[in-house]
Amino acid sequence: MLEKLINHYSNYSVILAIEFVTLIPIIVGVIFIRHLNISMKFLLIYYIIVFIRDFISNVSAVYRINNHYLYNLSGFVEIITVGLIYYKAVDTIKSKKWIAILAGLSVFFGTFLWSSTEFSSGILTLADLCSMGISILYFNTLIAELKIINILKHSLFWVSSGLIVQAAGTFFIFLFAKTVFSENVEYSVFYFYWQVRQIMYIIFCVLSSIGFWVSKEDKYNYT
Amino acid sequence: MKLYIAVGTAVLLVMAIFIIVFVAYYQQKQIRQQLILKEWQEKYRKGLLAATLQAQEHERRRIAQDLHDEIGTMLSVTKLSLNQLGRTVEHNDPGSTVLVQKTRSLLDETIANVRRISRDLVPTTLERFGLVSALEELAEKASNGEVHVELSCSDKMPTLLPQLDLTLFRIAQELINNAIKHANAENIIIDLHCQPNGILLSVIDDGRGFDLDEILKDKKRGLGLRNIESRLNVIDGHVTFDVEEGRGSRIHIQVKNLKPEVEVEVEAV
Repeated sequence: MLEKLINHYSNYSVILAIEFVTLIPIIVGVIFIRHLNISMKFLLIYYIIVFIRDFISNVSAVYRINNHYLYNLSGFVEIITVGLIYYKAVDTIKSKKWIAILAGLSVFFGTFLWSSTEFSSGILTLADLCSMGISILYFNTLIAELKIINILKHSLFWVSSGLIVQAAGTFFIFLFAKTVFSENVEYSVFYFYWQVRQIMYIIFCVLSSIGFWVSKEDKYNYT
Repeated sequence: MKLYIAVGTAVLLVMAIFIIVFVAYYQQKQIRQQLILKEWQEKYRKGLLAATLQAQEHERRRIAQDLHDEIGTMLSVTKLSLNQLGRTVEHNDPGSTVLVQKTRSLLDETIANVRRISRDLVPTTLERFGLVSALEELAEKASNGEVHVELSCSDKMPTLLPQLDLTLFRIAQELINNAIKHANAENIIIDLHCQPNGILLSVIDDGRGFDLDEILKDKKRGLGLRNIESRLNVIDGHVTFDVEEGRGSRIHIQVKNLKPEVEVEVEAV
């Protein structure tokens, strides 16, 4: 199995690179774990889940087993984690209610769009919409409450930025996932869009890592 | 299709980046304004507090002056008249001499009391000879058969601003008063020391102590302690209460900035 996996990684070096990228926020998060608030701890757990998902996905790919369901499932994981991160981060009941409604509705409608054999365009688009909506809601809270002294030293600002860029960058790709990720599409087309998705993910990882890094300042960054 | 997805993604990405930059810029701009406003509010509050303290000192001085110049003078004149009356009564009505003597001694006591109150209201020693001499006098006055007040201070004390001198003196006065009146202390030490980063004044007593939280919770009590905090607020000072019910208290006052932002005008005698 190990030999097959190494062979798989050598054939698809980008996949290996992506797994390493996932390790960056995990490592930074673990280094600064004692400074992390509950929201950032949820994010760290999310990255660990993504790392495990990618590993299982690669093993499945080696054995030619369907792994699409993993990505659809991680759409739900993303919605729930993002919901939890921001639910814990905001103080007002109104904002909490909006976050819970957005995440709850996304999960609810997502279950009707479930597919275990192919990429579920609906779930992934919903996850992107939910991430964008909640990030914008958080940005609005930041501007309205004015509690953060230096926004560039606020961990959730970087996480939200990463999340919004990733969601905006992959929204149309996932919206047309049935077309661009279908089995009938040319491999070059599939690879192009997959790479765009990976680049967005790398941006999210890098910005989240900055978020983990500046989390040591979080405690002293409130007015 | 590829083109539509690319254009759509590009537009969304530009919007996302615009939102991020806008939030970062706008939030920082707003927070800077808010901090400036808070700074102004704090400065204004301190100014107001300083003005209140200044008015308080001014009022004390006026009352002291009135007591000394008017009531004191009137009492002295009354004493002179009484002396004359005494001499007349001695010849005509020897029986009333005792009454005159009694009135004279009451008058003497009243004159002494007026002088004492007048001096307590305005610390003239502080203004003439500085904080150490004023604290020495305070310790001497407060000491009696039951209470022993001792002053310990650095050999070389820097000359402080009159505002700082007055604040530290008033605080020491309040703390000694509290220790005698409320804590029933027998031994009180006033410790005044010059540190590299400011001045440290400690008042240590062996009284029965008090529960700070309980006193500060009760709005009717703890006025003196709140007054200390207000006074220190004006000069950027800090107070530490090492107190507990059933044991002696240690109250430390630290003033780091020897040239406070808000200046209170202290009138010279």
